[in-house]
Amino acid sequence: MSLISAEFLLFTAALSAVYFLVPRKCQWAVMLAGNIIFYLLVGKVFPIFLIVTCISAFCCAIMVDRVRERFKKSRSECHTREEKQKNKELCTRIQKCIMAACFIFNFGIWAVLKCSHSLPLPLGISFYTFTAMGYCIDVYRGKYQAEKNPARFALFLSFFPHMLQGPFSRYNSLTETLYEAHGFSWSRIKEGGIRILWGVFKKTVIAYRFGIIADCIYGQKTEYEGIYIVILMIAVTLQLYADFSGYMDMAAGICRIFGIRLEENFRQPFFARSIEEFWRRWHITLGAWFRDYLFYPVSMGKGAQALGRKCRKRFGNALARIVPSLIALFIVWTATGFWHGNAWNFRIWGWMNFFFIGSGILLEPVYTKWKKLLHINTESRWWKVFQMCRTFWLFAYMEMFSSACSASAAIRLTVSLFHWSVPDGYALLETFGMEGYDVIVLLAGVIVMGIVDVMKEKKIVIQDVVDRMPVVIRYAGIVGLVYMVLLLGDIGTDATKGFMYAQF
Amino acid sequence: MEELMQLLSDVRPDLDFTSEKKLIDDGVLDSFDIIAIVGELNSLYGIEINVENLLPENFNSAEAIYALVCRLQEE
Repeated sequence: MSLISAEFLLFTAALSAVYFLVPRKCQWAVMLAGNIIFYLLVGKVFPIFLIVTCISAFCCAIMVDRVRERFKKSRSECHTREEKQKNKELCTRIQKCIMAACFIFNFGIWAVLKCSHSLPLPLGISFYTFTAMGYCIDVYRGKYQAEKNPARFALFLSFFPHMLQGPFSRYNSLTETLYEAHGFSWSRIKEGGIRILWGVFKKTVIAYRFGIIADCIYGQKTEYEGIYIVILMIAVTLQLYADFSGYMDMAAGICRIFGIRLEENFRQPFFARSIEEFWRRWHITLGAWFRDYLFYPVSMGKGAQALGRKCRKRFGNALARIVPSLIALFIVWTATGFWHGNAWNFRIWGWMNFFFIGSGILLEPVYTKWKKLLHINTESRWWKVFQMCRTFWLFAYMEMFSSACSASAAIRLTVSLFHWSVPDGYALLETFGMEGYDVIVLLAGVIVMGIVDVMKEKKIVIQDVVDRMPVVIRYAGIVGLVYMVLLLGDIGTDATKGFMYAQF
Repeated sequence: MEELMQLLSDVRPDLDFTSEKKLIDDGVLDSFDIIAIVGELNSLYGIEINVENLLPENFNSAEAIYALVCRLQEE
């Protein structure tokens, strides 16, 4: 079953019908059954790895909680401060052992499958493994108690809108509405339906056409140069954005129908004025995962802090303060590169991100001096536009690098970028195998996507705008969108190949 | 408290820590600032702030940070 097909539409409709017909206390069980059916239909294999991760994470969290409770009781019997301290240390040590075993087991499976070229990567493994480990860490940190019901925990982990491509949901945030009972609501169905339609439009009409351009350049043996590489950079970036954010719109729309709140994964990324800010707007939940569960523990660890103190004597306070963060940042981006793929182009992509973010922070005082010397008003509109364009091109270059089939191919493309030749427009269209109307559709789609993002950036609620429209215009718009998807969209591609992030 | 205010303005001289009450909620401090502040607090007060203490309510204002330091000193 593809995610963009009549079968998936039927599946969602049937699941929502059963969900709202059964007694409210059974709704979560219906959703769990729906998740299992979904995995079997989309993944076409028995979800053995998902079950293994589910059981191990559930048991780990329960054990960590029990150890804490047991030591809490025995601590009340301690009389001296030293005894209490020893009790606490022993408790932490046991909890750490349980956590380490769970981590080695789950991340081990994930890493082996990621590194293996002969075994296919199970559907959604990068997403549910990280979600499950995040849950275990939160329980270990005492953020919330472990879930006692294995079936309810399985529902959280296997929840179908977030299992394939994220977002990386936090247990306390998602389960607030996932475990709740929900009544039927027409307004929710309408809102969810529009968001799903918008996501499908982005994916099938915009991402599909940019994909043609990208595939054409990556797939051809002919050496492309200059303008073709610039077009490739734009195509790869906007394809990824329309594809990934399109899926997120679909997932959020499905959740809206059921009354479940899913975390947002995008916040108008092309308005970012630096790469650092970009990653706070693009794939937000992945960044937040690495920040909370890798960046903070490493940068606050004894090793990084001690190195920071050593640097203080030699390089002064300002640099010493950021040394622990820079060490953690390097580890985070190396890990993020590996998360995307076990190849050199992904590693280099991760290190490029580290370089741009790290150098931006490290050289901030120098940049500030230059800006003062050159009398640059950093709050002026033109400066902001310049920063946004610079961020876009840096990101576009890195995306082209990571999307190439290998690091050497990416380097070849980089060199070709500087061999400039300008072919005429028809030659470009012919190369990409596109018709004139494809270009018009693409441009119109990008403009509409841009307008929606500008409105969101200005904090205009799109749903309110849609609701305020006259009924005739509103329905004409919806019918028009459906018509465009059916007429111009690429419908029915395989789910795993269809969405770019499903392959991670 | 004076010592703490000095420490905070050393890390972020552009901010007025007496009036800012939503340093984390409003994204005024980023993760680099937080780590820099934590490192300085650990050195200055001889405490050990760990990841579990990194909650918005502990870092939203200078007063909240001061309360966290006092609590950890007592432990």
